[in-house]
Amino acid sequence: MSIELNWYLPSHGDFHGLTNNQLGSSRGHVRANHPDYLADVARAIEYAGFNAILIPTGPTCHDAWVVSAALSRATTRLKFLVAFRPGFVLPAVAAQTAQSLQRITGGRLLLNVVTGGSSVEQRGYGDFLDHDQRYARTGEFLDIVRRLWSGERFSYEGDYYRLRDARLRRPVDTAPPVYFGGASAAAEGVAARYSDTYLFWGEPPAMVRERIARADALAAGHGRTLRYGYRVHVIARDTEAQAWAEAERLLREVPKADIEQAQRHLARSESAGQARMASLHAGKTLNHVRDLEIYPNLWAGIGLVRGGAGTALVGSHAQVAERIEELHALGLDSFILSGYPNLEEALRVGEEVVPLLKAAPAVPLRAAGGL
Amino acid sequence: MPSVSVEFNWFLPTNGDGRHLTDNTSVAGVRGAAAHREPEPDYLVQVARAAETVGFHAALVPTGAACEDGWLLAAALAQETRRLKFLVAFRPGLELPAYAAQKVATLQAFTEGRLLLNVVTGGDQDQQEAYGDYLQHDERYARTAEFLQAARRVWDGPGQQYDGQYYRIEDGGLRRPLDHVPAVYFGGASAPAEQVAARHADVYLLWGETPAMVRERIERVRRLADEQGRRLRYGIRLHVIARRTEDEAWAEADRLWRELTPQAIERGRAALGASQSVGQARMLGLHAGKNARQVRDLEVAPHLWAGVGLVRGGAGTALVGDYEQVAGRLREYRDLGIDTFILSGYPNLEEAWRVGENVLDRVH
Repeated sequence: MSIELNWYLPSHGDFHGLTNNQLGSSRGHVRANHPDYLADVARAIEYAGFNAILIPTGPTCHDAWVVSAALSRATTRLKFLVAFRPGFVLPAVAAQTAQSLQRITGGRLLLNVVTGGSSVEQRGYGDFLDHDQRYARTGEFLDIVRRLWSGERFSYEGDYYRLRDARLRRPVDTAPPVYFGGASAAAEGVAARYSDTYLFWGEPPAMVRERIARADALAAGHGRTLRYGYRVHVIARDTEAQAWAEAERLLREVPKADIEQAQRHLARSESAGQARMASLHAGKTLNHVRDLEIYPNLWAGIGLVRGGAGTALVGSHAQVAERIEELHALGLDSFILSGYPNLEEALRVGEEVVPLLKAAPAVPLRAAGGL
Repeated sequence: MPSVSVEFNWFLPTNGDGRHLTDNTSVAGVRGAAAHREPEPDYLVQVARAAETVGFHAALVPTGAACEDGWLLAAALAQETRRLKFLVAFRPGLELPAYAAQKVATLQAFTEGRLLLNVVTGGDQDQQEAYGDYLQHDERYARTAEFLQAARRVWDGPGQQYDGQYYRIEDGGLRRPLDHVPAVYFGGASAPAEQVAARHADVYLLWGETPAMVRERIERVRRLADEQGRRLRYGIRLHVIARRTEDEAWAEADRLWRELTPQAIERGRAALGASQSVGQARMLGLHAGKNARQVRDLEVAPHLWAGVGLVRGGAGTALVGDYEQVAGRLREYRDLGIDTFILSGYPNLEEAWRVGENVLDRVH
């Protein structure tokens, strides 16, 4: 299967340095999440040849649905991987909204289901379910939206949702593919039944292998096969030494107190994925930047201060390309990359790393187009 | 009357458009398989740009099962316009207020402060239950009141609590207070709706009722708002069939009306009659029992024609006449206290130009 390369849209602001776990309140140089800047990044990402932008969700982010509708007018080919929380909107409404966004973007919608790992954050939105209940609700939610997209007309009696004689008045031809994140047992069960692409934060190959094997088995139990995706930062430079010097700079700029504060905050998360990220650097004495190199060219330093995806591929352009190939061989077909800052790093990776990949990207790159 | 500046808005046909009444209705079996102009983004861009060019203040973006998503269309169309505002209709019961409030903040950023809200609580039980909302009519309005309170709290910034009957928020709120809180337009003709409007709305909207009916409602809502120490603005939603001569205008109304089959009219009567909406009942009351033999049999007040409502839910009347006559009727509503008009035509692109160029200046 070909590689799908996507990039991250910093809809909470963009940075020259590591952000802390409250995305958007980093120290250092900040590019505000102004619509004009986000349009610039989106255009750069499209120009660099990427398939889609991941538009994140959270209290410090712009609403991803609205962002993608607006950015669809500034781009022509780029797809929108819209992250959203199922618990905030009724599924029949979300199904209608998604079909509407398919039409507005000309079929460029992908959905990223984020069930939510923090009860504190969910309660700020008015959602009072606990972790496992939230995943059970996500399962019902996806069951309903998929049936509506398929053109079905039905009533539904679930634990979380009830609908009478529901249908889409103007169903779309193409339902948006469903990407899905969540590392707990509850999440895996829902991913196996209802997702198309199951996403992992940047764990080392051994951990990825274990999760793919388990999810493959669960999906097979439902007669399904999943694709797998990988969300990771990238610090690629001409030489390995330059790349590690950049990682070192990022790390050095963060005050120790910020790291401790971030770690205390992240330790309170109920997210199984977050716990797996934390385990990558837990108990490590940090004397040198490469002490956090937990696998060749995989650096856990980002996760010291950032919630969610906490690792970066660090190395020369060729080394980063090799790692991506290695991960692809493990069964990862979709990659969501990011850098500090995202505009420049998307161009760099598109121009310097992607052409070195032997596996053909799903979307022909601008560079390969002979421009 | 104190002189108020009048706000003219135009309708964005996000559920289909065309030269026929059946192109813009949600009544099943009346609307064809497809409207003559489907609500494709590139067409809606043209309507929005026309409305902006001829001087309309905002585009009303409607909500409904057959409509495109209003929030998202506003986001896309804002990129193609510079000044036009977007009056986005939405249903409070279908999403959490804190989530909607965050979406509003994003839209304000991406429209550069051009968002207005139109709160549609929903009058059709079947449609609400198909969405998964099982509250009854009056409860829905009580929930709408909480929704607006909770959303305003979220706009105030971090550290917000809310503890209501329908919604609860614990330590929520935008990271930064919202700079430009959008004006809240509000529709609903029932007694509970009037109460909620008096407390929480900025602009109270009516479908195109006769001047006498409008006067009665404005007086009642104004009294209710006075009790709250509040002052509302009032708006009306009307179709327009304006032509150079009165004869041409009625000929156009006649054409629209004669195209309707008896079956379509019967389907419209059945579907719209099943609604719980008090506003809808008032619209139907305008033509109920009338055995129209000619087009002007449905003229329910001078130049106010109820023919649209035979097959269309919601706003069911059109002002029909020459440009000066239509302007005169708009002045009459203005003198009753209406300062906001939301107009539309068949089709909305060409009629936006026509009304913008020929009618608006005559009202001022």
